[in-house]
Amino acid sequence: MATGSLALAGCGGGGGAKAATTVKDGDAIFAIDTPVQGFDPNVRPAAQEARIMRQIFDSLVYLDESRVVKPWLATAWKINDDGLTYTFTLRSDVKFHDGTTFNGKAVCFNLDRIKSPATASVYAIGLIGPYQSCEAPDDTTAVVKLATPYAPFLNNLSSPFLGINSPTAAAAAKPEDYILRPVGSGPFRFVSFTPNDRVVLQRFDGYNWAPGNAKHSGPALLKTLTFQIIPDATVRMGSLRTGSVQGAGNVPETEVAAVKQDSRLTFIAQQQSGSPFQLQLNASKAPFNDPAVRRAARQAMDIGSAVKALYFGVYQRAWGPLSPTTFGYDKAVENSFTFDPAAAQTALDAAGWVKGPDGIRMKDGQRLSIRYLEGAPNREKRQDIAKFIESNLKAVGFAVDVAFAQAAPLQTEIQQGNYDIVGLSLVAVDPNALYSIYNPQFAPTPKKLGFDLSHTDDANLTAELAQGQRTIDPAGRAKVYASVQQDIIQNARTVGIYVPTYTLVLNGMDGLRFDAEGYPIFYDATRTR
Amino acid sequence: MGYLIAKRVLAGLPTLLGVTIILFLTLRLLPGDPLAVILAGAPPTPEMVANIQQQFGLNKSIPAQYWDFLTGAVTLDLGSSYSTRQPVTSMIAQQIGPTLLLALAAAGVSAVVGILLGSVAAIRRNGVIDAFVRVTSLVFTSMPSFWVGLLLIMFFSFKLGWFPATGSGSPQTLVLPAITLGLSAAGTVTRLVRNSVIEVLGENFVVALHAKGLRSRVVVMKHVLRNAVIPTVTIVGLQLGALLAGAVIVESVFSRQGLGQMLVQAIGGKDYPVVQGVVLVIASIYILINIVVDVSYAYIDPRVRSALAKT
Repeated sequence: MATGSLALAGCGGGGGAKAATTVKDGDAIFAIDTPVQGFDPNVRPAAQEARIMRQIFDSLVYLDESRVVKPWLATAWKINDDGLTYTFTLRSDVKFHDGTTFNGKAVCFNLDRIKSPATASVYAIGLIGPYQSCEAPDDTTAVVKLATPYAPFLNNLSSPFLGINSPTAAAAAKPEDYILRPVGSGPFRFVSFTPNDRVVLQRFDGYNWAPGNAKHSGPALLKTLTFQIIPDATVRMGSLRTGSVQGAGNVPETEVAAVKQDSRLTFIAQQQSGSPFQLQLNASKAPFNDPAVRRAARQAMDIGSAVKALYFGVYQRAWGPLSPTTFGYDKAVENSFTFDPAAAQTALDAAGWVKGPDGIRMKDGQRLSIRYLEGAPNREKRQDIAKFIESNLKAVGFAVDVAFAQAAPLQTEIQQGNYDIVGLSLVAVDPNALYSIYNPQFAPTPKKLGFDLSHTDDANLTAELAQGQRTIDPAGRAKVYASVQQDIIQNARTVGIYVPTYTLVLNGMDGLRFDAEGYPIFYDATRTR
Repeated sequence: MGYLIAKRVLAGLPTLLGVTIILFLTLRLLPGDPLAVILAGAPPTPEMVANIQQQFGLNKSIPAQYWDFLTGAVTLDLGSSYSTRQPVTSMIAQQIGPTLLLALAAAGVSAVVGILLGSVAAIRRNGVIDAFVRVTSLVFTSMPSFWVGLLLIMFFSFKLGWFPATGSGSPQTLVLPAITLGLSAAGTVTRLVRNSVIEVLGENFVVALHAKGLRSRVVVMKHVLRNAVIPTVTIVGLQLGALLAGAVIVESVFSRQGLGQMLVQAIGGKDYPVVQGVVLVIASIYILINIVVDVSYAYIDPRVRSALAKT
């Protein structure tokens, strides 16, 4: 229940000055910052594309504000006691944009298509986990079989990446054509894509199966919805202020104060679920193989001040390994440790690291020197975070070498284990994201990718993460993840920094909502004047 | 003449082959694995990795991959993008038009501005106007184009509302990007035209024309400029290559579609087939322009033609 109130972190700058009138059947343009490349949810992995795909595709279920699974294209479902068989009852009145009917076969087609090696799915395939087979005994039933119990399955079905494609359209087109001509059953249908310029969607007039949390029923309120790609932040914000676009995503932090003061503009900050931005402390070698040193390092970090100084209150501080809007988030992690450099010094002394003549601590002839690796370009000011942490750690006697690297070389260094601290965030709808972050099976090694960047290898934690994957009952599952979060905090395996947040501004548009992962929903949106 | 062209084209082929080898090796020898970028958002299982490697042919040896690329390229099949699965040839076909249009329009801006300012400066040389033009041309060449682009957008789009700031559909959207890109090249042209007009003004035939009693304006417009502008046309042609490369930044500021943006994204995503395809196409255009310039020289100047024929 902790989640709902956090969804809109800072909404409505100008307040009551707005007396906007709604335009019927309006056209709206929303500016995004990163070029998009394709719209086949079974194939594409990018969050920016999910913001568009969410409008074109419906899912079987959705997660409400309290992260409870609710019916959408599936009206009901039954999970067998062994957790291996899911029987979905489906709506019978749903049509795809090409006029074909949604049914049990369509569900099976989509799941099989994701699993097929020819699809080369890189994201959706992870969401369906141990999916084995699917059968459609009749039009309104789909029976899905898993190889092993997989509790995240139902939550994941709410993701836009598991949106349902029209089997007829997807089977008729070559994969490379379908990716640019997607056909779903969502409130907007795809019209055109001009690479690096814009994506045009048009209202689907036959739409009448909005999920229960929508504010109206029937077709969408906007007639057309265009996503325009404007990478330059100055141009993007200028286009919004002059009214050539009605919404813009990714507001530069430095602009937020001005945007909030402008009474014409509505500022929205939407936290993303999953695992927040965290520092992964490499436990596979000294000095961070000692939990006491990890805890001392964390105690020396003034995270609250760094986040406040860099993000001006737009991004909230993260404490644990889960973002606050994720199912299973344990509020107990908040304020569970303090910033106390003096105590950190004492703890390092006790751990045997004694200050040498140059101020750097030593133990058995080894200097307390660490390497902090961060990506380039400076995504979300993560390099500035590195600089803050560097000075914090130096103050208590660490020698810190900060290195920035582009994505590909960074990955190579990570695989070689050439770091003591490295940052990671992972957007996901289900807490099972932690399974791949704290599991030795996913530790990166040369030529092997993986997200266990802290090289956490703890039998008890691994077992708990597996249990979280198997436990179907939501209350029992939440308990498992509470224990997982406590373990990670107590052992300082990773250190939470900030919660990734999608910021956007509206000028002439209203009624935007967000799904559980933080993707915008334009179904209820209207043009205003 | 036909023999000459054939010879130049044949000489261009080894250059192109060299480009493909260097490009192919650089991409693969630089640290980083495209799989790491492709799978960055999702926890990959070994089966997923193996499947993707097989689908994209990344499990083959580098010489085998190069051979596939080369044999494909001969039949205009440049492979498929890792991220969109699109055939690279059709991606390029879609995006090359806007980029060429931008480069051509910019070359036009550069020629018009350069010839105008250059000749005015030459006629009024060592005066105030000349000094002004010389400083201006220096400013044009030294200003970073993303900054010029932003200034133009601020003033002409956001303040005056004359031209759209972004987009690539209508002709109006071409105006500001073409000026941005063209101004950077105009500085060089201005300098060149100024020198060449001054040179022609000192020729004997100009003195003769004046002596004949022709008005100054006619002498300059009809006789001097025509002679002075010929070398400029060649330079503008050669600039086209640089303008194609410069389009990358301008396309991004003005959110235009085009090859430049495509290349930048592909480099970031380690999308080998797209990088290879785009660079190959740009290199081919460069080489082609060089051939055209060589041949046009021979066409204009018989001395060059006979010299080339002898070698």
